[in-house]
Amino acid sequence: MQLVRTPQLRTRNRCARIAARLQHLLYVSTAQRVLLPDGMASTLRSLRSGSALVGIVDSEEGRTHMMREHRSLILWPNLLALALLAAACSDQTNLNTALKRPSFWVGGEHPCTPGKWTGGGRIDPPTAIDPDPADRAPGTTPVGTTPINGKVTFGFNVFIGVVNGDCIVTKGEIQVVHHPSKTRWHVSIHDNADDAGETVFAFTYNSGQCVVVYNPSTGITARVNGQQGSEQVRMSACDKGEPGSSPGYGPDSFRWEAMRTASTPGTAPGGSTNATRGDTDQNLLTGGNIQAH
Amino acid sequence: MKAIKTLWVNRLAALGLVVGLTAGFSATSVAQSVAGQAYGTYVNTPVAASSQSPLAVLPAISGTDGDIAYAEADAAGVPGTLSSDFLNSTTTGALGATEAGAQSTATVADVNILNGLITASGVIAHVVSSQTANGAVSNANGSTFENLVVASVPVTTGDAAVAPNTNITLPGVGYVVLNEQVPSGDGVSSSGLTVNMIHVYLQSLVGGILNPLTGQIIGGTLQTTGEIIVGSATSSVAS
Repeated sequence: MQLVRTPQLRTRNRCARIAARLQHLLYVSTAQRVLLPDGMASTLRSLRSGSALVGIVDSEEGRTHMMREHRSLILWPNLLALALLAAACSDQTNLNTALKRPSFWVGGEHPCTPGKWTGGGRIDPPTAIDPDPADRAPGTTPVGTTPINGKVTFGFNVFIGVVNGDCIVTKGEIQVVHHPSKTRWHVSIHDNADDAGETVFAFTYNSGQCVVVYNPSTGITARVNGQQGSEQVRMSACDKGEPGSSPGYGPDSFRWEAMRTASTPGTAPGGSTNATRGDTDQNLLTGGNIQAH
Repeated sequence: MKAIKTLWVNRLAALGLVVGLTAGFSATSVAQSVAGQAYGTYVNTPVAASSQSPLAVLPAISGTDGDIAYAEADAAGVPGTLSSDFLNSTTTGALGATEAGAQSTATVADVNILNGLITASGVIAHVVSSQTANGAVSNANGSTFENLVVASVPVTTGDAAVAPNTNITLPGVGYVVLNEQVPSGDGVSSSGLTVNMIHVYLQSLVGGILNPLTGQIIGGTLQTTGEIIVGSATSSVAS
């Protein structure tokens, strides 16, 4: 199991890592060190003490090295590192992501257990018996603004891995059917991305018994009723034992959230609109099984 | 001399460790194969036929892989024999290091069999097969009928389950088995289950002699001449 940060934090982490590496380059002694002209040294010092890096790097340690190394620096590697730092700290995608955060935002640092998750079954929200509260994904509300009630059947198979420090669904498919509204959703994930080309993220929680598959900024794109349109969705699933459904409820559970988009007017269940999303809430299975491998 | 003795002791210990680990892994080994399929309707009568549709069959899975298959249709049927709509078939399965499983689901809405002889607003067939170090199991939990009526007699109100292998006679037609469950496997190294939510067996009297006085047929045997299946799901695991 690995700890990964959600994508919004990823850029900041990368920035911090690069900054730390830059700090290391600035002050580590080598045989090829050269004295930096006063002007450039001043620029670097100001950069080092600049507000962008304050709070990210531990500059006190750097100052100690600075004293020891008599302000000697490596010129070209430093310039390269500066460029790298600039690139790492300026990420326009991150800005856009932050603007869209309310859609399917799940913040914080979460574990990632690479492997595959497979399941199929049904839920019947609203469930008379609530699942373990820990089965709800961290950062999500107990119930969505627009409930999806009635029979829901599903099947999925997703592969999760850590790619460039992110917890990613590398490939997989999700099929969900809401029977009262006769709505079908289908998600196809290939090469880490959904049909819209957006990266599909995941993280595990509840001691690795649960997984959430999502995209924090846009949601995952699901085709609705064939090619009639698309919606943005998020899936949560918990593997709490074998087999996943005893007569009655659980122990496994499943949650499906879907937000109508402009391309699917009138198809989202529960009367959801572009501003709200339908939500089954986390429900114990009334049939089927979920397995984490 | 002492060093050589120590070396052999270490080698034996290492060998024992390898053997022990191998035995341990084999004792907890799980399924090497999983299978699943699901379909909404199937008709095979002397006057009409329709293949299993929409049919989802789990692709062959090897190693520690997993897969999914799904199929859907807006409507399916044979005029005068069967009508239905909003059909969905899904099957998933995976092989893992410590557990394996397959699960299949078939759903059908607005079912009408033999011009209203059997109707249901919804049918869901679910089967699950899973195998862990503790053995292999299968079940059909969550298989239900919504507003099922057989020969004008309500069987379920709303969405409800019916006892496995419930047999109801259909005079002049044959009989129907509701929630028909066909298990397979030994429950230890293998397990499987097929559930056919509505399985109509069409029967005809073969042989016998017509009594000219009463007009009734004397003797003869009932033979199945056709079948109609609505909502079928199958899953299995085996090592």
